[in-house]
Order: sequence, then C-alpha cells, then structure tokens
Amino acid sequence: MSIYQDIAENLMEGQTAQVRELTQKAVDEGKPAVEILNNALLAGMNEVGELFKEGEMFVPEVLIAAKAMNSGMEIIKPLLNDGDIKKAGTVIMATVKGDLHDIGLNLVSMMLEGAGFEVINLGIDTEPEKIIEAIKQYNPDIIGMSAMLTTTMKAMKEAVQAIKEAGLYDKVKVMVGGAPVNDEFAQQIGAHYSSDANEAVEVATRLVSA
Amino acid sequence: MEFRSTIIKKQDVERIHEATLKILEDVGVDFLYDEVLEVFKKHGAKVEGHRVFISEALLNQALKTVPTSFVWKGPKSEVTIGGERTVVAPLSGVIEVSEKGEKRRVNSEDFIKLTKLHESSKVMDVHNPNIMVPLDIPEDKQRNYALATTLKLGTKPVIGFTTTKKDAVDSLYILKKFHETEDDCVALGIISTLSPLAYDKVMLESLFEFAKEKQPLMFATCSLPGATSPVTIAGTLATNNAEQLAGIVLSQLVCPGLPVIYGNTTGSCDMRYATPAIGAAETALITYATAALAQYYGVPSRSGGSLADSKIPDIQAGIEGSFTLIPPFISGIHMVLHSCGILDSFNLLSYEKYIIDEHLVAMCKRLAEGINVNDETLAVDLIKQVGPKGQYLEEMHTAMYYRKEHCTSKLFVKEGLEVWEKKGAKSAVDRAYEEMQKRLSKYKAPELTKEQEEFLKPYLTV
Ligand code: B12
Repeated sequence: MSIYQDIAENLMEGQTAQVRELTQKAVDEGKPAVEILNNALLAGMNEVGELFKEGEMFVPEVLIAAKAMNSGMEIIKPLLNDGDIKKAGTVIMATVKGDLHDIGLNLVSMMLEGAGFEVINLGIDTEPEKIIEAIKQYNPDIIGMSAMLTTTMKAMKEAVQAIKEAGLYDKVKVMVGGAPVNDEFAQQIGAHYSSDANEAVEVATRLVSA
Repeated sequence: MEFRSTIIKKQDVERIHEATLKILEDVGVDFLYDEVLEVFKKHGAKVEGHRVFISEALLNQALKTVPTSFVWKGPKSEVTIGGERTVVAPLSGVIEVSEKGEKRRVNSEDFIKLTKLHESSKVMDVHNPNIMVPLDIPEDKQRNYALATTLKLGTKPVIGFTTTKKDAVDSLYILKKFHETEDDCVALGIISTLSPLAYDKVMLESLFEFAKEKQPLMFATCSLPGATSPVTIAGTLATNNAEQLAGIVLSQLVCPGLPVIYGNTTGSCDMRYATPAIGAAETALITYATAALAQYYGVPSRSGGSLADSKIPDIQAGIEGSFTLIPPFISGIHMVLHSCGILDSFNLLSYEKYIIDEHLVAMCKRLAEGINVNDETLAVDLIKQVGPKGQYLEEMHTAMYYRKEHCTSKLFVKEGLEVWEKKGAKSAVDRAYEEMQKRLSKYKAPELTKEQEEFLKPYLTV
C-alpha cells in the first residue's frame, strides 16, 4: 500500500495520531505537500463524504475523520503555497433570535467546513444586529440561518429585512433551514432553502460559484 | 403504581443515582436566569457564574417535599397524577398534519378538529393547547386563541403555556379565572431542559410564574444520545436524571410542596443524519428507566407515547408506536404525553394514526391489566358443564365476560379475507379515517355558563 493510501485509510477510521505520524513520515520522505494534500488527505475525506451520503458512515465517524484530516493538515500547511488550498467560501451561521436549537446548525456548519468552507458559527438566539455586525466584520459569501420553531420563522424574515436595510443584501447570499422552514417560505423572504446538511453543501457550493 | 418490569434492575437504578450525584455535585447545572441563582445561594448551594452545584443533602431535602400524587382539575373532569392509572395526554407542537396521504401546514381548523377528537376520545384524559400553533390567527393572539378554543370545545383538564413569560402569565390567568379557583391545580406547566445540563431563561421565568400560582410543573428532558447527552443509554440516563433532579430541587426551593412530574422523552438518535429516532427500542428502555427512577425518588413520572419517525401511517409507524407505547403502561408511568398521532419525529400529526393509536392505548391498558385469575374466570364449573367436545359460544359466561376479557376494535381487520374484500377491502388506515369523520359529525360542544362564554369571547375574536 502506498503511504497516501495508508494516510487515507487511517483518516477514514479517524486515527488522528496515525494520520499525523504518517503525514510527517511522507513529508520526511520528501513527498510534495500538495500531493499529500490531494492524494491522501482530500482523497480520504472525499471517500468519507461519499460513504456518508450512502448512509454507510455516521455523523460522529465523519467528524472524527475530519479531525484526523486536520491533524495532517497542520503538518503540511506551512509547506503549501497560497493557491494550493482552495477555500470554497466564507459562511456565517446562526440560529435566529428566540430559538435555542443548534444541533442542525452545528451539523450544517461542520459539513460546510468539511467541504472547504470557512464557517463562523454565531450560535443560538442570535439578534439581527449581531448578524449585521458579523457580515461587516467577516465579509462572508453566505449567511446561513436556522429556525426550528414555527414562532421563530418570523425572526428569520426580520433578519433578512435587517440585512436589506443595512444595505448588505446584495453582498451576500442568504441560506435558511430548519424543520418548519420550506422552499416556499425561503423564496418569500428572499433566501435559499436546503432540507439537510448534504443539500446545504450543494446549495452553498452552487451559490458561491454562481 | 408498582413497577412491574425487570428490565432495569434495582442496582442499576442505584448506580445511575450515584453517577447523578457526582454530576450534580462536581459538574453542576447551568441556570441561565439570575433569580434562580439567588434562590440556590440562599439555600447554601455553591454557585459559580450561572452554574449551580447541588449537594446530596440539598437534593434529599427537596425530594422530601415533593407530593407523590396530585389531582389536576378540568372544567368537568379531573385526573390524579401519581395514582394507579396512567393518564393519557395529547401530542404537542406538530408543524404539519396529514390525512388521506395529503400533508398541510397547521391552522385553526386543524386545531379545532384535533381538539374535538381529544374531547370525544374514550382514552384521552386531558387537553393541550400546545398541540399546534394556529398559523392563520394573528401572531400576538395565537396562544390565547388556542387556549380559549380548548376551553370552549373541551371539558378535560388543560395544559398551560411556558413558551414565553407572557404566555405563562396569560394561560395561568385564563385557566384560573375560567375554573373560578385559587387553590386547585388547573394548569400544568412543561419545563424543558436545555440538554446537556442546562435550563434556559424563558423556561425558568415560566417556572416562577407557575410556582407563584401554585400550579404543577412537569420537567421534560429530550436529549439526543450522542449529540446532547452521552451516546450510551446509561450515560444519557445519568445526565437526563441530573437535569430532572436539578429542576425538581429548584421547584421545591421556590415553593415547597409544589406538585411536579419527572418527565423524560429521550429516544435514540440516528447518526446517519443526527436526527431524533424516537420510534426505537432505546426509547422503550429509557421509558422503563424513567418509571424506575421516578419511583425511586417518589415523584410521579411521565414518558412519551406512540412515537414514530415514519412519515406515513404504515407498518414502520405501527412497529415504532407499539414499541414505545407498551412500556409506559407496563412500567406504571403516570402520564403519557404525545400519546396518539405522532409521525416524523414529533413534527407531523397523522389523523388516521391518531385514531389507530387510541386503539393501541386500549390494547396497552389491557396488556397492563394482566390476567384476572379467580373462580369465576377460571370457570371450572362451566368447563365441567360443557365438557370435552362441547362449545362455549352459547354460554352466558361467554356473553358476560367477552367484553371484559377481550380488547377489540372495529378498526382492525379480523374478518375472513373474502368477507373483507367484499366489504371494500379497506385497511385499518381507511377505517380510521371513516371513524374520525363519524366522530367529528357526532361531536357536541359542552355547555358553558353565560359568564364563561363572555370571558372567552375576546380571546376568540381575532
Ligand atoms: C432536540 C430538540 C430540542 C432540544 C434542542 C437541543 C439543541 N441543543 O438543539 C431542546 C430539548 C432544548 C428543545 C427545546 C424546545 N423545543 Co424542540 N425539538 C427538538 C427536536 C426533537 C429535534 C431537533 C433536532 O435537533 N434535530 C436534529 C437536526 C440534525 O435536524 P434539524 O435541526 O432539522 O436540522 C437539519 C435540517 O433542518 C437542516 N437545517 C437546519 N438548520 C439549517 C440552517 C441552514 C442554513 C441550512 C442550510 C439547513 C439547516 O439541516 C440540518 C441537518 O441535516 C425537534 C423535533 C424534530 N424532529 O425536529 C423539536 C421541536 C423543533 N421543538 C419544539 C418545541 C416546541 C420546543 C420548545 C418550545 C419546548 C419543548 N418542546 O421542549 C423548546 C424551545 C426552546 C427554544 N426557545 O428554542 C417543537 C417545535 C414546534 C413548533 N411548531 O414550532 C418540535 C418540532 C417538537 C415538538 N413537536 O414539540 N428542542
């Protein structure tokens, strides 16, 4: 087995220590960092993504695989050139005001990170002002909002309104999700809907490339 | 009620209890409301920021004042929580409803329809204005409209609101005024924990409002194992238990003797999606443990009911619902919330499943009742009389005991195949729909006094 395969397989099993060690070994053997990135780390993570979509891998397994990947990334990062890692985009995520549900929010955030997005997660019960502030600070491509209560869907609408009033609506794309949210509602408030984390990654990828 | 299952052993309960003590004493529970911190400080508990550490002594002191049972009154009937009967209560918070394979968003029409079904149900013991948010009603009026509609259409005890402080205050006022009472329990406040190991401000504000009015509280944990509690069932039970006990201690410090319920509706979590998997064997295990733990502490208990993740009233829904509705009845849970109609992990009500679940409740009650063994039921005299090769169809004993001993329903298909085909080959789901229409057409609203009608009017005018 090639060392790349070895790294990828350990990554898929979430073996953080082994991935770190093997990545270091590959570097020591003189393998180019960009090759380690693409042929070992990203190759392993892509396979993880496929297996997750097929229902063969579970969320916690995906998350520890991502941790293992990061342990390898830390080693090769200083050796990579600027253009080697393609950042997919920046996303600000938040559960809207009055809503305390964050399991879906965190899952979507983690999946976006796994797909190469930089995610700033503002957490639960987020006032529109905080979202505006964050947009000004991080200049993101996408704002992702979550609402799990019928009664907090209106906070989502108000947040979009606030973004418009702050003159920032043209600078970002708005994504929404959560149990009571649907496509129709998203369109009404000028946002893009996804029904789960996988779809969220697809929609986000589409939005940044549009 | 005696705990009848051997699935959870006494020493396991004790070990969960010991782990819980460690969590309460060393890890602490966050109460995100300053007034609560003052209460705990006053009673000598260690408080750091919003984190409260509860000692075994404080826990035991609080548990001493919890009533083992209480009576909850409605306009025309009442129930005892903590007695020999498992009280059956409606679902809560569905986002959509479905019938005849069609799905739609909830509105006041569906609110009224389901409330009428609850009122005319032979198994449903109480009402719940939280069943769904009537989305067609102006937002600031939705809660009070829902509560007033419940009181207009129903006669059974009613759950209150804890969704905001204002909702809590309004529901307490309306329920007390409608029942013309100061001291009786006429509202139940459901206080959800913010797993793991926290309570949020809104819930705690509502807790204070209910305690002020001396109205009972139910603490409700609903963690997702692996996400908001440890993935192992024992670990989940330990954190759930700590959350429960922390809330119960607070309630007794604020208002010693306040009736409370130990409630847990934690299920499994499907890690392909990190979504709740409520129609699960693990839900059943957690229900058994909930009954055992609540009994250990001498607090009335509550679980979920016929819980399903399936999206349609199909065989999956039937299996999931049976798996989760049998345990509360055989383990002696005192109250079953979300008893009938749930699909899609709490998000969807199926009317057909609601009607079928009513029959499932009847079957569970029959199961829990056990076998009645006495001279009359053993019927040795009759056996002698009929003798070998005789038959029992014409016997008085058969006619007399059939209804008592056997739980039947017109819903389930039991006739011969050809007979069934000739009658239109209708499934239990088809029959449930017809049964519902019949029930609704026969529904009659209760008679209200002039004063009651006048009192409800402004809330109903939207
Ligand atoms: C777990 C849970 C809780 C936990 C939350 C813990 C936490 N840390 O998040 C606790 C117990 C604290 C809780 C509290 C309450 N809850 Co709650 N809760 C749930 C439950 C069972 C599961 C939600 C969940 O985590 N799902 C798992 C995740 C992975 O799925 P998801 O959130 O849907 O997210 C996915 C998609 O929606 C999408 N998505 C989500 N967000 C976003 C955002 C973007 C940008 C994108 C692109 C996609 C996306 O992708 C995600 C991943 O695939 C739901 C019922 C349900 N089946 O949904 C009720 C539910 C949402 N809760 C409900 C209610 C009523 C409450 C309470 C008011 C009272 C109560 N029943 O306890 C309080 C409210 C507190 C508040 N102010 O917010 C109701 C809502 C009813 C309504 N009509 O509004 C529900 C439907 C249950 C019910 N029938 O009563 N709840």
